Amino acid sequence: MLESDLKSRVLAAAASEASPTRRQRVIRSAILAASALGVPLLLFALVGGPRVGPRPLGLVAMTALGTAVIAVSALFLAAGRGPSMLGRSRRQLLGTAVIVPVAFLVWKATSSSGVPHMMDPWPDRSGLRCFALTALFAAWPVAALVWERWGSDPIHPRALGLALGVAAGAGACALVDLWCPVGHVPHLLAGHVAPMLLLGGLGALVGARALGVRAPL
Amino acid sequence: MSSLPFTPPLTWLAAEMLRSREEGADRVGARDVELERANAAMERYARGEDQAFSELYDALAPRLRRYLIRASRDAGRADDLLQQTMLQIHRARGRFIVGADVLPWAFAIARRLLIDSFRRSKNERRTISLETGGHEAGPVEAASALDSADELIDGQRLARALEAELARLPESHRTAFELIKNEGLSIREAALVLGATPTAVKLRAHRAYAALRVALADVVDRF
Repeated sequence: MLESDLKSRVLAAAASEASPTRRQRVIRSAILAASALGVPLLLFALVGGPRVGPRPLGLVAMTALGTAVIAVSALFLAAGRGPSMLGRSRRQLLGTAVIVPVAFLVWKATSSSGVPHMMDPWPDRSGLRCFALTALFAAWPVAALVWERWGSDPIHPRALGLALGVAAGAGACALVDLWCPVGHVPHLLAGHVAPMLLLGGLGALVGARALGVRAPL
Repeated sequence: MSSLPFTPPLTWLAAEMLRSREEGADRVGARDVELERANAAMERYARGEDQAFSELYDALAPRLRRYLIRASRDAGRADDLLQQTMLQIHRARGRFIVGADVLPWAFAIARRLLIDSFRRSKNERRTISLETGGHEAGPVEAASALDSADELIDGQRLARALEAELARLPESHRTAFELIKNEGLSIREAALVLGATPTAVKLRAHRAYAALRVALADVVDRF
């Protein structure tokens, strides 16, 4: 095929297919971001909102601040692309997916260990409710994040999906932490860290198909 | 050289080195201008200036097409992949980050589509092979069949041997080598395209270069 013919064919194909400009995409992204923040907050309010329980208020504030910082950092690292169109490196994405759950566990355990009885076992709290709440709060944010980055990663979509899932899970964990007073490590692992990892795994599975650049069949 | 017939050897050597350096600098300068043109066109296109797509095509298409033809060895497929790459860029224009480089992104998309295309045709070939019970020679087998001493008597055959040796290299090594040596991407840009660290890319390109040197030394000996 002549190069001029090829160019005409490409320009005609592009002209026949609408694509949002940066301004239009920024508006769409802002709406998605607002919903990704608003829906979990609404759900959190529906299940009763913050619950201090036997915890001192200072401990609640301290753990909430720490988990919020972890969640925001995770979202920044996973969903942000930095200055390159190719986004974060695989190492950064995988690092985020590994470090965030560990950081959450260490922070929660460390801050709780400073207050007597806060790390005692709660036999009737296996962590199932926390697991379900984390998954519930994270469901829409993870869907919104995947939608926002749909078909955009030509290099490592699986790693991106993993990091997005873990980051959404970290955001949900920050909310659940305001509700759950238990600092017992097995409970934290089963009810808080496990859903984060599960969301990461789902993100990686979905990401391989949804986030990668793909040719139309 | 003929313009400096009576120049003392050291002066001539210094002049050659200077000329070579200037040519290199010119090449880098021209490349930078070309990249800036592509980035500027992409930026205007992202803002909504539809006419900029033609300019972007002119800046990107020749390099992408060259890369795709070399990698696929099929001009028809390369053209289809080029069209798909440009359409992906078109669809994602709203995502373009202010100040980002468009070239590594475009190469990464082209490479991804190329890999998908190979996978798809491999699956199709496997399906046909299963249906007919036939056997089709892969590119390496086909290239190996050409490696007889009689066939290596001219430059064209030597080039084919080079292609065959390139085909034998692991995909990541071959691509690193091609992006840096043939397409003129910097190590940092090639690292972005391949999703690897600059050190890893440097190592892959070096290994590819060393493997080619060994393989072609054998070919030249036979020749």
